[in-house]
Amino acid sequence: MISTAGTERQAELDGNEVAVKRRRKRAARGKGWLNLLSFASFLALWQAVVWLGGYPSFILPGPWAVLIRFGQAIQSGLLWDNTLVTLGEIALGFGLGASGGLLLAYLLYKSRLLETILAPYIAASQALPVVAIAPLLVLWFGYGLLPKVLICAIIVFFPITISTVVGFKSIERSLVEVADLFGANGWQKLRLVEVPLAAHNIFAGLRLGLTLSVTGAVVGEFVSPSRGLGYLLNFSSSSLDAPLRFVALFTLVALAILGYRSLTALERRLVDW
Amino acid sequence: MQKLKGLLLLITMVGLVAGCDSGGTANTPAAALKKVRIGMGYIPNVQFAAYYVAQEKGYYRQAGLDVSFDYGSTDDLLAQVAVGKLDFANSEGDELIVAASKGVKDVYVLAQYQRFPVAVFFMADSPIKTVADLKGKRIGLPGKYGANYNGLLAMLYANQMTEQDVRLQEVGYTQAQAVQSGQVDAAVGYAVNEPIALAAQGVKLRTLQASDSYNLASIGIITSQDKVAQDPTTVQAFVSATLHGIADMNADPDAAYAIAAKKEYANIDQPNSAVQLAVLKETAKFQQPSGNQRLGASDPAVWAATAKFLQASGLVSTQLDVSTLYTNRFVEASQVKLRLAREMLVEQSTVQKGDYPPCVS
Repeated sequence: MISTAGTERQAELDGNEVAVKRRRKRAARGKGWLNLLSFASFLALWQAVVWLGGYPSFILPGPWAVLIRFGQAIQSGLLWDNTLVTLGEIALGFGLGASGGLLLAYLLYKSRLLETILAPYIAASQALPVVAIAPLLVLWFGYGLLPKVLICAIIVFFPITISTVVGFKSIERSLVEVADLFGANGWQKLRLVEVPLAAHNIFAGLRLGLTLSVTGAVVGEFVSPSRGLGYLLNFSSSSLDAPLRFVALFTLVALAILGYRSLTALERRLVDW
Repeated sequence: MQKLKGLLLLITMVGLVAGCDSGGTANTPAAALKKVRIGMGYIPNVQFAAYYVAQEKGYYRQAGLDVSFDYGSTDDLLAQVAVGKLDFANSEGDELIVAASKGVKDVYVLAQYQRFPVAVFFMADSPIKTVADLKGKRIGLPGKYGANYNGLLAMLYANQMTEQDVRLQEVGYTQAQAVQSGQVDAAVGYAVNEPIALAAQGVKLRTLQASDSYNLASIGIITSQDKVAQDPTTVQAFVSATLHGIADMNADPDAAYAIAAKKEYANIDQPNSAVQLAVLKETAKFQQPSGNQRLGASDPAVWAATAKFLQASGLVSTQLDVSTLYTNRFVEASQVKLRLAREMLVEQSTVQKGDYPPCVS
């Protein structure tokens, strides 16, 4: 039987929870208005720069010109067709780079010897400028999708690997030993102890990798520009269509933000329970 | 001669009827087509309209080829062709001479452009009137490499000037903006591109064409020496079909634009259509032969002059026999086919519809 004191206590807790939820909603609304205000200020500043500088549209278009061009590019299908191409490259490149990075990170965590051998090469892979090796990849693998996916994967690979290794290494040794004591096998340890405890670092690496994959896809399209948002950047430059250039740039930014937010939401759902 | 033409026409008509299917135009089965790849050296663009016309009208297919276009930078194109990674490249004669001096074994088989398409452009109110007036001026260019650089040096060379007589500024691919904003006095670019795009923005310009000072061997189709020796049939087929595309583009630029603007080719949307049509029409002008020059043929005098300039400028340090770097044999054979095709069209247009099977109507 629940006592009166217990019921009162429960009501107090429920009331607190409602109050907390209300406070969070108010904070979110406030944040939303702040975001809107800062975006409007950015647009106003941008237009002011165009007016005061007297810039012609092909050097610096105003926000209204860019918005109109957005509409035209959407209506003609130009934006959607090219965005799909870039999205495909990002998805495949990120998938390849992330799987390779996560797998290698786990192997490096498990084997000191492997880490000692591979660490210099992993560091070197980051030091190599991708724009310099991109033409070589096209030379070796042709002008199709593969070199662009590989360029993307190379860019994504390093931050995911390093972040994941750091995450695994930050796990308290005693917690893993406890799992051993309870007779957990390798797969159980990985699933129930190591990955959950390293999850924040893993997701940090994945978020960074995903935003970098957008850059990777564009680098690939600059070298082998048949379609995609990188191609649109190239084309808009050659035809002095600066509004279209901004359309492509903003679309790339939107893809990166969308990817970042999606992974953050996934992390909250999977990890922060 | 009339009897021979009539006989050839009859043979061709019989061949078409025999190969006719109920669907319409004669179709080579996909399995019988030979796959070839051409490196275009740039992004999909209306400047490649001749190729798109040949593709769309089925000239490649009729020649037994399944052609795919690979878009990308020009840096490695000639090397890729030489080692067989690409069958053909759309590249420049001057670049081929430089590559040949380094051991690349390619050969130029069709001249798409008859004049070097580089120009120096500047604001209409600029005091610059002649190449000599460029002395001491700030000239913007993408970098000290490629066609823009070679074209400028050739102009200066023809006027007894050198790079030291002007002030070069490497501005990347922002030449148009650099001229308009006054950061440079003039800039170098492709005559079929930057000046057209800038004029479309309402900017009044004047240009000095490189080809008026010193014409260089320009853009055309390049393949490997191995391919010419081992597979001349494919080379002939590709050259013939492309030449047909060039001829059609020159004859009717508006129709060529309608093809080039399609999604599967240059994919031009409405806001850019006027500018891109102007680019295509300007490109067609550079493809037109002048004087006794034939469509698609290389001019030995231009090649010799190109080699002389490159050696004098130090861009090529070895002695080369440039006559081995180009050939007109495929173009000459193509010219015969093109003439016959045109005569067939004239003959067909005088025949009543319905007298022949559907595929010839």
